[in-house]
Amino acid sequence: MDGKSLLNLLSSIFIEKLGVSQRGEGYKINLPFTDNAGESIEVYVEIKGDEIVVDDLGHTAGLLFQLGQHGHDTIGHQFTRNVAEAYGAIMDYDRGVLFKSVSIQEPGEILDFIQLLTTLKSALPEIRYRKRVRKTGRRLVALMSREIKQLKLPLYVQRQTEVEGRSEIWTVDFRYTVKLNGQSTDVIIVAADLKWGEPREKAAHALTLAVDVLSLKKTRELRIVYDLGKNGDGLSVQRAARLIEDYQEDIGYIAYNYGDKDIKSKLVTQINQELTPYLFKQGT
Amino acid sequence: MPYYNPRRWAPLDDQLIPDIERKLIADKRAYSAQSGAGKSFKPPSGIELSVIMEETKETLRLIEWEDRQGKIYIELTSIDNIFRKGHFNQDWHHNPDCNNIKPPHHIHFPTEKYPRLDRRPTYAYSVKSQNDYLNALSKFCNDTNIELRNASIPLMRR
Repeated sequence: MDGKSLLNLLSSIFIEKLGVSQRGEGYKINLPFTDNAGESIEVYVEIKGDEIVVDDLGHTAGLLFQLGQHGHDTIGHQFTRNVAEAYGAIMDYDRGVLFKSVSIQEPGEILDFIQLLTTLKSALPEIRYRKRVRKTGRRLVALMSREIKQLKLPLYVQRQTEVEGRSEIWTVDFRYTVKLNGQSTDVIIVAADLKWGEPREKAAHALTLAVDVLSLKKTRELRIVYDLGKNGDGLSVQRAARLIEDYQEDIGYIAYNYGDKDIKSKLVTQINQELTPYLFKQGT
Repeated sequence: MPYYNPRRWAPLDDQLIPDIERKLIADKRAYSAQSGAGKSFKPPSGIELSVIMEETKETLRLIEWEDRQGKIYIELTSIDNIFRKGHFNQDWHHNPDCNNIKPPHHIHFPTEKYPRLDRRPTYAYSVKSQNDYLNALSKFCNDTNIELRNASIPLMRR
């Protein structure tokens, strides 16, 4: 095959897959390229006076929206903005359309827009990202504060306070000192909110904290509270909960499942018994 | 129960994905999603809803938008999967088994052999719906057992 034949072949491939159809005042052009889902990439062209206006029909914004990358602080949005700027295109935020105005004397510039669009359609779906997880409901520590009134005693219960371990300083959710079995004991409560974020990381954090904090020779009682609903909450949450349950005897903390009605009631009663005398002293 | 089982649209040597279908069959409610702060590049008529599974409280994402030609796109996704993709007012769709789906409306679904709806090819089934934005959303939610009552669709869409 010589150069001319190759050129003819390529031209015929391009032309065969190229389609133009009238839409309102302008034309919709089906390009000889497809997107990640196999759909033909389309542009809309309209002649306005001395200019040719070419736009993407809203498909770039649609793709960003599908990917959850439409927000200004996302990689997809920033990438689109940078490439659009480099190719002289404009992102119309009001209409959700990417467009470029080309002089009628320089129609070849439409190719810049086509290049921009095929780049975005090819590259954006490959951005590796993790969609933000939206969750409803209160966080465990907020739930505990709301349901156990005694934990709100400001003079006796320290919240989000630092506790010294053998190697590290840790921030814990609640801390107070009471007499347990006739001995002044530092009660430390840590909420391992397994439903928010990575469950195993939360469990690992709680266990490391437990090892470090209980290594010091101090009279401490560490309570790790987690929340496992009856519906299971998914395998990763269940496995993280089991980690917390399994190591309590070895490490020396006490685990409470706040999602279990009986265990929750036991914890609430225990805290109430420990702190209720201070409730009256404080006069609340 | 409002759920459409697309099993018959896939060949016998392929299967629906049980985990995904279970979530689609389960009762779900759509709520208005909180939009993030700052400037965003949203498509024409783009709406986003949070879909909460009644029993497990898992949150899914439902989006709908319409391009400048009137093609409507609806998608239901979890963190890492697209469960269904609705295409309304669109052209032919060609299934991997060469079964062609007539215009104008179809809904894509994942199977064991073609699990990713953001990759070609994928299976789709034909749906009957009116051409407008709200009817398309309503049809999509009916086929995926999503209760729309608590969702506030922007006034412009009413």
